[in-house]
Amino acid sequence: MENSFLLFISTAIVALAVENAVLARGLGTDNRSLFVKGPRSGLLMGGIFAWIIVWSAFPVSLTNYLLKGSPYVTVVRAPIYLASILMVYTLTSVLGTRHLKNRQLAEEIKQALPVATFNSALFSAFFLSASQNFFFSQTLGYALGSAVGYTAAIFIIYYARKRLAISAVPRAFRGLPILLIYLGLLSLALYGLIGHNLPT
Amino acid sequence: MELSKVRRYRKRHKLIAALFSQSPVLIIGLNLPFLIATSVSLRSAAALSLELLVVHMGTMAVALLAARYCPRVVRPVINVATSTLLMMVARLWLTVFFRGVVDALGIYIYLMAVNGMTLTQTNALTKDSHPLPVLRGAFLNVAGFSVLMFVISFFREYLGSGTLWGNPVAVFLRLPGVLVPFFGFIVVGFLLAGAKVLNKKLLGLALRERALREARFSIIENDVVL
Amino acid sequence: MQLKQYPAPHIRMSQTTRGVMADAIAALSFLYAMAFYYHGPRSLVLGLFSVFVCLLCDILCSAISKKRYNLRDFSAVVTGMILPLMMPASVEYRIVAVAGIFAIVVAKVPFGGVGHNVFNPAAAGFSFAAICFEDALFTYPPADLKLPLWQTAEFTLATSPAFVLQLGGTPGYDSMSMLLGKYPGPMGATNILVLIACLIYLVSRGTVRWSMPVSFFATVAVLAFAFPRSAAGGLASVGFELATGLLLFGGIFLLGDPVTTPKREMSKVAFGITSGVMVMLFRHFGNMEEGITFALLLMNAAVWGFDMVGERIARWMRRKKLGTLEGEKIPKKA
Repeated sequence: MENSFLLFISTAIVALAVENAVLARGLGTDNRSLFVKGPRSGLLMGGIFAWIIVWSAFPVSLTNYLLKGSPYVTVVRAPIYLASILMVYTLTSVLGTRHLKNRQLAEEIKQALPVATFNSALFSAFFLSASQNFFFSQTLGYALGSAVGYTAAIFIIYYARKRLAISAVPRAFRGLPILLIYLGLLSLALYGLIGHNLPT
Repeated sequence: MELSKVRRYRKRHKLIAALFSQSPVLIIGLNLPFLIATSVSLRSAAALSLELLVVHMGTMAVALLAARYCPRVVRPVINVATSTLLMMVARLWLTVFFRGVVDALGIYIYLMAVNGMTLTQTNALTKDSHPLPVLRGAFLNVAGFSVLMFVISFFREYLGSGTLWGNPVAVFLRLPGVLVPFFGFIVVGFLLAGAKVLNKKLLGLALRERALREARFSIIENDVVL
Repeated sequence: MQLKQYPAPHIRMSQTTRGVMADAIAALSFLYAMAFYYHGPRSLVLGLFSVFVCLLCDILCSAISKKRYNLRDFSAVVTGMILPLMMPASVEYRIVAVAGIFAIVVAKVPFGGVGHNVFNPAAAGFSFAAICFEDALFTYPPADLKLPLWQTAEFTLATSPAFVLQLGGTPGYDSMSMLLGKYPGPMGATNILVLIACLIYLVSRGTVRWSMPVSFFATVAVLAFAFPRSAAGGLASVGFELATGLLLFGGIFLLGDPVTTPKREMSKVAFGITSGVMVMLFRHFGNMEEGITFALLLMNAAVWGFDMVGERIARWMRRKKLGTLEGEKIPKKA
């Protein structure tokens, strides 16, 4: 039990910092999801991402356990992961927003749900946990760590945009180009900690 | 200005616009993870371009039908399911021709199922969308993505590995750091900035051409022949 | 009327950019003098070459963006002088060129040039070169070895005490050798006495505020004492951590960059403490023997946060102070 908890925590920290989906692998670098309007939108996007990935981790982990050693794992894995995510997405979309009293929040969640769900960062978390043969606690920890790391990346990018807005950035670089260069230099700094290419 | 030159400018500008100035990759930053992390060899660029062609074109075709006959709520699910199915087909096909590359690409082969370009463009379709222009635009966008992948991959493979298409070539200075994702961010950032400058120049040319055309029409209306 | 845009904070000081850069150049010149004493004219040629590359890149980028280059701006010169001092004296010229090009073209120009860059260009350039040429940058010629200008392949290169510390060992150099820089290490980072003299010079000139380097070194010392990497014990570890690698050099010249560090005094202290923690984290868990440049890049990204929090605290303190004039509270408006 203690071992599982330690594995959960250590895997979560690795997914959050060392193997951050955005900074270390360039995943989820989609204009739709990263360019949030403010901290509230960022928290909402991160929250939805966390909700979907954590609940999807249960069927995904079960799939990994059942498919272990199967010769068809590479073929069958992707649609089963997708089905798990779609199931959580559909339940959230249909049931989740219906019972919210705050209609504005329900509308915002509806807008952000497909963007946060169909995201390379979310899918990659499951494929990476499968490729590293994680147990259930590790898969859950990796999912949670990825969610927190993704939310952190959203906030880093939000505050980076605010910082870059007061710099005299040349016109050609304004907007996405300078933000990518900024993320590249942050990724360079993180690489100094990891020191090797991450597994794909 | 001669009419043939105007026609040539217009044709060239349309193709370049579809590939660059109106490319969703350069304008709104879709499909960036592939450009950033996997553009380290020409073979991986070829594999991913072919995969995107299959996934994007197939999903757009199905999405056109879904836009006509299915309710809006269900469409994202259909689109993602279609793209995943096509991704699996493409992966099996690519394993035959690019086995080593498919293994090296790892999770990125699977992530093509949720690539931003396909999901954004399929969700933007309406029941009034005309198939031919949509499919032609989709093909040109895939072509634009492929051109970018090849350009970046050429640069990174040559400088980082000292090879081209897996064959060693003479290189003055090898920089292994170029193969790491952080350099992908930087290269794509510079490429987007270059595309902005190019777009501005093309826009300037197009505006000049339009101004000339309008001037010519106004002169003809006043019964003055040039 | 020509409107010019300047970034915040809009604080006027008696110092000018040119003055600050000139002080930095003077301090770096002392280090080049020591490098020349130990390794001969190659160290000077490396410095001149690096300055040439950085200046050329800066001028070319200004020409491409159709801006007039300010010849009185010595920032490219400072970047060019800092880079080779962080590297071995036996480093190849092309590695220095790569670092210089990356520093100017990637870390400086796209962000708007001098005064607007978010990341320290020298730290970024060195970090990139360290990833590309790890072996070449972390093996050093023996001290007191005069190197030829072009060919250094026939000399045996050694690892530095920083590498020994990374492995958990104890460097086998006495205190006098470490103070005078008589051990293999980066060209400008081994002579501790000269570095301390540079720090005193820069602080006395007002180019560097004392609060940041002092808080930085104090944090590193405390962490080195509490979590020693070598078996020699806490106190000896403090000496080794401060004296080896690029820590002292980075704390003075990289951390002292006025553009990429916080503006307020309390923010500087907080920044210094956090940077110390980050550097020690990189030293303990990082893959490379020298992590200060990578840690500094991460801290540069967080400077905005330190400034923001510092401003809020300063505003709160100012309001609290104004709220009690002569010990009486200002009555609230009805």
